[in-house]
Parts: sequence; C-alpha cells; structure tokens
Amino acid sequence: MTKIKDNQDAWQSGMAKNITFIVTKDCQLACKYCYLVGKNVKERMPWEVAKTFVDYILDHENDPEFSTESVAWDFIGGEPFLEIELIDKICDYIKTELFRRNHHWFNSYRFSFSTNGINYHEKAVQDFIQKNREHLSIGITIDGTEKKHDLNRVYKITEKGSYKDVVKNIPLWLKQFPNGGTKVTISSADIPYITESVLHLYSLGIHQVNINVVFEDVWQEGDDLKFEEQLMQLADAIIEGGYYQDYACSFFSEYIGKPMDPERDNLNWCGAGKMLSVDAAGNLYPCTRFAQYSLRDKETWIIGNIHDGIDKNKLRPFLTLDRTTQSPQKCIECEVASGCPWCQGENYDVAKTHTVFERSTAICLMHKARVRANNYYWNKLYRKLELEDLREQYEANKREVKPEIC
Amino acid sequence: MPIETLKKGILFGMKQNLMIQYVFPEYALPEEYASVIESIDNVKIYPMGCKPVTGISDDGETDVIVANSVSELEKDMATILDMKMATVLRLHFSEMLEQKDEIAKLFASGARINLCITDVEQFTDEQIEAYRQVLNEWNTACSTSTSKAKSHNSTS
Repeated sequence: MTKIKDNQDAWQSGMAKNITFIVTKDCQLACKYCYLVGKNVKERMPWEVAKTFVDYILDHENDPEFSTESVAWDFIGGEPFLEIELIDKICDYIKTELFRRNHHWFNSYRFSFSTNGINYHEKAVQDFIQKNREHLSIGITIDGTEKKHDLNRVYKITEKGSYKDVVKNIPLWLKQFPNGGTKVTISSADIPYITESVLHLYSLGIHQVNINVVFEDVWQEGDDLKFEEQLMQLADAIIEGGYYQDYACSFFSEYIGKPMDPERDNLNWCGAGKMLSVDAAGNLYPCTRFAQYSLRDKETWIIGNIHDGIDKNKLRPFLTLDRTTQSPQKCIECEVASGCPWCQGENYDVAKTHTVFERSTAICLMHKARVRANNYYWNKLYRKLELEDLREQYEANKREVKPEIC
Repeated sequence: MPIETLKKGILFGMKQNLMIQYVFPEYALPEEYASVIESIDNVKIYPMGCKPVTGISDDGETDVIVANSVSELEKDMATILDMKMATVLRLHFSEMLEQKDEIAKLFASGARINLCITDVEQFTDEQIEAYRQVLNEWNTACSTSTSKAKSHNSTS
C-alpha cells in the first residue's frame, strides 16, 4: 500500500502533564548553539528536593492542573544521564507512590529523556532502561554527519567533536527503541550540511528526524535562501530515493504555511505554564527556559517552590498566552503563519520589558523559506504519486488531518 | 515561451503552492516541452481543435477549451459534454447579442461555458439595458432547462 510516513506525535500528545526535573546543570559537551548559558557542575539536584517535589505533585492529584489523563516525567540537564543513580531513585519512588496512593497516573506515565548519548551504553543507564523499558521515551541527539555534528557538539574542555562517541551507541538505542527519533538543531553555520545530514541519519536507521532552526537571532543575510536551497535538495533526495515511505523529517509537513484565523487558530505554541519544572534548589518554573541557566539577559521567572507550591498569580500570565496576545500584527496577518513556532523563554529573554507577551520574530525569514521548500516537496511528491497512479490510493488511506502540534 | 522560462515558472508555482494553468498556443510546441509540462499538476487550456504537444494527449487531458465563435463550439459539443470540459467562449459584445439564442441553447445543453466579452473596454452605459435583457433571457432559459432535467430525473 502507498504510504507517506507521518511525523510522530509525542506520547499522549495533549493528554499528558509534562513535569520536568532539572537534575543537573552539568554536561560533558559545550555545544555551540546550546541555549543553556549557565551550565555548571555545582547545581545537582539533591534527593530530598526531588522527593519533596514528587510528594507535592502527588498530594495535589485532584487539583485541575494535575488532573490530566497521563503524565510525562521529563529529566533534563545538562546531560540527565550524568545523574542516573538519582534518576533511578526518583523513578522508583514515583512508581511506588503511584501504586501506594492508587493514583490515576499509575500505569499511565512515561519517563522521558533527551540525551547526548555519550554514556548511553554504561551499565547504570542500561540497567535503568531494562527496569523501565515499557515506560520510557529516550531520544539521542545526533546532528547528522560527523562534520556537521562536530561543528557544534564538542566536548567542553578539549573542544573535540563528540560524533564518534555518540554514533557507536546508535545501534543499541535503535535496538531498544526502533521508533526512536533524533533531534537536530540548525544554526547559521549548519545550513550547508542539512541534506547530507538528514540522509546520513536515515542511513543509520533513524526513521524520525525532528529538526528545527534555533530561535535565537543568529541568522545572517541570505541564510533563508541557502536554507530553502538545502531543503529543496533534501526534498529531491527524499522523493527520488523513496525515503518518504518509511522515514520522516519534521521540516516537511502538509499542514504548515497556511493563513491562520485570529479566533479559531489562536492557541499558544508550546505548553509553557501548563507544564512544570523544578531545579536543584526546589524552585518551580513554567518551563525550563525560565530557569536562570537558560536566560541570557533576563532574571529567572520562578512561579513557586516545592514547599509552598505554585503561586498562581505568578503563573497567571502564562495561562492567558495565545497567538494573538503576543504576536505582532505582521504575524497575525501572515499568509504562511501555520507551523511558525516560537519559544516562550526566548521571547521573554529578548523582550524589551519584563514580559512574555512579546513574540520574537528572528526566524521569520527562515520559516518562510521552509514553507516555500515544503510546498515544493508536497507538490513534487503528489505529482509523482499521480503519475504512478498511486495518489488516489494514498489519499484514501491518509491519516486524518492533524495540524502541527501546538 | 522559452523552456527555461517555463521551468522557472513551474518552480516558482510549486514553491508558492499555486495551481499551474497552461494556456496553449494554436501551433504545436516542441516535443521536449511535454515532460516539463507534465512535471506538475496542471490545468490545460487549449484553443479549439488544437493538439499542441506531442507526448501530451488531449483525450481526457484537456481541462478548458477556448472557442472564438458559437459555431466552433457547437461543432464539438458532443465531445465537450462527454468529457465534461469547461469552455471559454470569446465574443464581441455585438456578436453575443446577435447569437443570444444559440448561446442559450448551449447553456441549456449543460455545458460549462465561461463567456468572455473581448471588447469590454468599449462597453458604454447605453448598452446596459441590452446586457440586462440578454442575461434575463438566459436566466429564464437555464431555469427552464434545469426544471425539466429535475423533473426528468425524478420520474425516471
């Protein structure tokens, strides 16, 4: 049967509460595009903080913000697996408490990780994976070819590229998570390597490549046209190589590049404020991007702590965020608005005042370039199917329209 | 149109997500145009009776036929109806008035006809009444034929 592989949705997308532990602010790497400007080796989460946080969440099972059907417990850093013993202890505690309390999240939870993959093979990590296999989402970040990966993802002291140490763990990871997706980040210097990198990741057996441009204002004049050219090359390679049947690249989506109705299509892009993060000091954040180590120019935005809980007045602005309340008029009227993302933390960091209601438009030209290449991709792919008499079959079996996630 | 310009136009249309319409000339295009033309979903607009490109059949491929007279259109009406093609009938205003009854019959036949008045820039306010009258006549003719078709369908 003719098929075009869809981009994967996150587990229980829209139905799970995201709760994030910033277990460490340390990482083996010092990636050049990393938005975490305040990484350090000192801020490691103590067990007592983690336990108190879990107790706080589970004690409030009946509060509206914790009444979601499911929960995704995210562990981030830095590099989360540097704290695998702590994570293992936290996860054991969560499971035990969910059972003991007969909590509605019991058996409807995930432990989620985005790792640099360097110590993925180590015994402690592997033991943890074996123990929690059915409840895990793990993504390893590998940026593409060795050249592209090592352009940015370098060790913090030696500045040596990390590709070789990551790629050796990919077969093990794919064996354990055959549908695992990787996350690729593109900044200005990476543009020439996009096509070869995505194809390289496919050749490693990774079927889902989630890729995005950085939100920061790093773009130089002409980058949008180079980006468009790369994406069109990639489109040609995917279509001519037939990769579209079994592999997906998130740059290409049928549902982007359309005008958006100011009333009907007025959701916030991300879940800032609906998710909850905690750091080593026990402070709570609407998203990890509001922790101090993520912010270049603004002060941290704390919405509470593990002892006193969430201060709803501090959370309130996030709950009123939507597309129109924070976008400039040009974005509201944009004819290719759908699929144009923003990062709430980045918006806050670059805003002229202490506000989250000021959308950064640094990626505007890059989004428009993506839309042009995306249009090219779908027009070309559909024509191919048409000429092969496969289009009707594909349309008949197509997944129900689901706009790019908000 | 040079083939390179055609390719650039198609690429532009693909990137802007536009529907490509080809308006074919009355003379035959070189063969190498065929694969370029067919590289994208398109709408083909042909002058009546023309087979412009080797490699592209007009059997079932023609989306729109352009005719320059009522008689030209009448000649191929069976095929047009059979293939459910849309047509463009290009006439001067005076021709339209002169042949209004023949045009009414075409409308009644169920053909999809877009009437294009080619000397519209010469149109004067004094002609409004005649224009109104002919539209009313066609309106009546179309209503009658639609009612007949409906009643035929409900009894058969």
